[in-house]
Amino acid sequence: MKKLRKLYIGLIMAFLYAPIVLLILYSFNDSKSRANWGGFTLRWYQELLSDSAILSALSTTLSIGLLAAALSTVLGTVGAIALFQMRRAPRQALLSVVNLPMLNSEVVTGVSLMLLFAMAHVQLGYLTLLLAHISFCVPYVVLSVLPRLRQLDPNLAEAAQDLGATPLQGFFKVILPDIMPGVFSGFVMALTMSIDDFVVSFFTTGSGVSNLSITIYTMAKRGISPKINALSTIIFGCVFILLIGLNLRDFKKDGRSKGKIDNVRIPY
Amino acid sequence: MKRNKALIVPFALWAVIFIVIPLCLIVWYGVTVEEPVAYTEIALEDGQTAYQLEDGTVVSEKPWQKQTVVSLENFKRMLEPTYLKLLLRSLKIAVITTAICLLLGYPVALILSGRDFKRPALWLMLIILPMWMNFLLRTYSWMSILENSGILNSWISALREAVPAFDAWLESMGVGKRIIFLYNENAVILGMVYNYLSFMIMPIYTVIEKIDRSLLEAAADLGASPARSFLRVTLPYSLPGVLEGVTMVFVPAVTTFVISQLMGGGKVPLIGDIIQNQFGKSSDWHFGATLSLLVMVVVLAFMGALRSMDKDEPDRKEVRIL
Amino acid sequence: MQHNTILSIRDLRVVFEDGFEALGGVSLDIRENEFVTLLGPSGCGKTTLLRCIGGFERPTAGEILYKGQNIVSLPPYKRNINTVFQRYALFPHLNVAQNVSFGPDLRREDKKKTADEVARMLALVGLAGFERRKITSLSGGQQQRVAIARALINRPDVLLLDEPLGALDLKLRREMQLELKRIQRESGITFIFVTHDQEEALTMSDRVAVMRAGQILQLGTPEDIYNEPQSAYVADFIGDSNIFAGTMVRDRLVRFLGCTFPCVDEGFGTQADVDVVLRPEDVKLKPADDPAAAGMPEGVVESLLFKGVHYEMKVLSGESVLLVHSTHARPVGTRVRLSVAPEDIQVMRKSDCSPDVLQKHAQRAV
Repeated sequence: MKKLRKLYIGLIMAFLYAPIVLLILYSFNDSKSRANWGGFTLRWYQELLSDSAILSALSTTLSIGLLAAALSTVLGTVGAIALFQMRRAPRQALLSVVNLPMLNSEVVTGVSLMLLFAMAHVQLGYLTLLLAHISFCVPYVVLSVLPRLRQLDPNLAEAAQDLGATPLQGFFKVILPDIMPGVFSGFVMALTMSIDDFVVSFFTTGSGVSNLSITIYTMAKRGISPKINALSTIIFGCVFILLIGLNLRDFKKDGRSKGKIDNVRIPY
Repeated sequence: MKRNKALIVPFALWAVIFIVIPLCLIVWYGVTVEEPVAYTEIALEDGQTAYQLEDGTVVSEKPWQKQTVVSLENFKRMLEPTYLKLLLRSLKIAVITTAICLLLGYPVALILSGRDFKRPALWLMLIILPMWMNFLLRTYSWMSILENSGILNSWISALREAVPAFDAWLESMGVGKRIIFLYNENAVILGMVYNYLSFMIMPIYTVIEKIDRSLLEAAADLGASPARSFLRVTLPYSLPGVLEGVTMVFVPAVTTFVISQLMGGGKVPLIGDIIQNQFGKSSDWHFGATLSLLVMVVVLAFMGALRSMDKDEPDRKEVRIL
Repeated sequence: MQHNTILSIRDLRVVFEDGFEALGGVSLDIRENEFVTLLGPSGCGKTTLLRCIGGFERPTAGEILYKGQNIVSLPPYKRNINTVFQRYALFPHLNVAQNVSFGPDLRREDKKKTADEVARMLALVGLAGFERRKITSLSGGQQQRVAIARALINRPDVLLLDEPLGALDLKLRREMQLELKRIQRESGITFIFVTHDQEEALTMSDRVAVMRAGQILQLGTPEDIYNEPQSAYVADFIGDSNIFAGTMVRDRLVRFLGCTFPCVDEGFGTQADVDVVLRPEDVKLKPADDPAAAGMPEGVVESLLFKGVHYEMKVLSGESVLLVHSTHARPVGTRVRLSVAPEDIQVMRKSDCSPDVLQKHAQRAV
């Protein structure tokens, strides 16, 4: 029984990793007909690094991701606190509005934002892309900060004021440090969501501004290119190192559901 | 101490501008169409023609302007068999995908949350890790394996050359030299299952992992067999996780247009593809908005049905922070 | 000894946004160096009154005079009053020393001086050497002490304590009661203490205010409150008691339990409806055939419990069940007569709290 379970997990892992492993393997393949093995090469990596379209898409993805994550973290944290302090009925109402983008499919979110920008006569481009990313990231930040607020000792802010802190001092010295894990995981979630997004970006960008997802989409529609294999390998390597680094402590402790893993919410 | 209500303002403003107004715009575009403005031709004395608009103004050039008119025309169009079939196919593929993800994912969550399973956090991270790669790259990886001149086909043909008996057997089965894996519904479903499987595993794991172990021990203590305590304790308690997982798989599955275009090669268009088209090639934003409304209603109805199976958050006293 | 009034609460009313009246016109003078306890069941308004003094609740009407100045509109951080919260509200991301020095650090006081002061405060609350400990590693009692040190270091004129011992077990509670009393004496600070535990209130306080439904029913020394309750409610809340509906026949003569008793109370008029309170230890049980007790109400012992210091018996007399404490056990079923000394009979006017007000407050408390 125990072996059967391990076998099952092994099979699922194989399903999840086989395509990635093959992708990595073939990124070093020196062959025109991509399926045959023609020897080891770093040619595709060189071509990738000289492909200005991919490089500019990469920098757009990263800058949009960091900006959107930072701004949506600020807005989402403020929003979570505002929501938290509201009375039940209006809170539930506003919360359902905020949750709408998460319930709605990305297509609808993308289309609706595109219509908004069209109505406001804003030229689609970097700014609209950034605004769109902020707006679909904020609900995830709210979602990850709210539980921390609920765990907060209800008298904490009052205690700070009691000891002579103004409300603002109390927030920065007491409340913020306490909800920081939630804020941080909200930031990470927003960053992943933004970097991974294709659908909303597709509808809200223009003027030649293109992120990685859109660039890959265009390339993949034209056909397979080993350059994308090389790109996948690099991205997978970065993600692997990042995630292992973030979680290393927890594995050592063998803690059950402690740490980041618990907070990771997969974007879609 | 007065609650600081000023915080709500910027946040509520954001919610209105970026959530409420855009959705209202979808509704507005959905129930309107663009028509050429109506006019009547007037023959002038000098033999030329003028054009009178409905408000009475007379112009010498033929009016080219369009006007936005409230109309349910697009709803009628949406109900044409072509679009209904697409919707049904989208729903069918989403349901199949969700079911496969549930069947594959639930055991994973169950096994990982088992008490004797070592290092669950590590395995969980390994399951999430591919999700942190770009969504397009994940889909692309399957394309490169399955395409006609892809990795799988080249391996099979290598095997055929090496083992003539295998080649003969395949010939007798009527399989051609190149096996077509991509560009059909199955390929689309495979792509979706691969992309969304983790969405199913994570929420179920989170819920099962939180089930009070003493409940299971109590069940065992009362003489319940493992199968029985699974049915009586684990399964009902994991239901919220299953609902969350089903939502997280079904919603993107029913509306995607990336996977259907890459894995289906345009041969398996889904409702999402049609919406995308309206904002691209066909450029009929009004019909696109109508279809978006349809998708929104389908998704919300689906979620509403699921949510009604779940309990509400308990009431909480108000607390002030700032 | 002359005491100056430090806090004067004048006709304080608090009506919440949903229309619920938490305080219905409370007036109270608190003197310097005094230990005052607000005692009452949950929902009686005691915490609301404390929060008004601390500045966390804005009263709807009335005044809070602090050294003669109305501080109603002053925010908490501008009042020289500190609070020990029910669940301590220690800052979890700071260690013990950082928690205690939170106030001085905000005022940018000299680091070295503050460190000395922190050490002194921790010694005062019995936590010398705990500076670097994490809050989460402390027991409930230790967290309690940190909370007190964190408040005291600011040298407040008044310290507010909101059921600070509620979360502690009985033994620790007793210890902390003595400790708090000692700290109060040594620091010379006015303590306003909120509790629903009458024993705690009687042990620690200089004066007790018994509250109910947003009103102060009685204010007095613990001895006054226990021995001379002014209403059946106070009598019932403070210690065990037997309360009967009775009639004041005339001065110094009251009728209840079907018999007429001599008492020491006057001024209720004749044939007036009153409440009569008997403390369980004041009811003496005599043998049914004791000639000295002839004419006293008769009863049967229904239950007998050994309570360590005394026996607790329930005696059925007519329709009523009386609680009796005695060092002398009488077996269940024994027929007895009840005797009470005139000075042990407490006669008081009918309670004036209307039932629907009480019910509202009780619901609120849940």
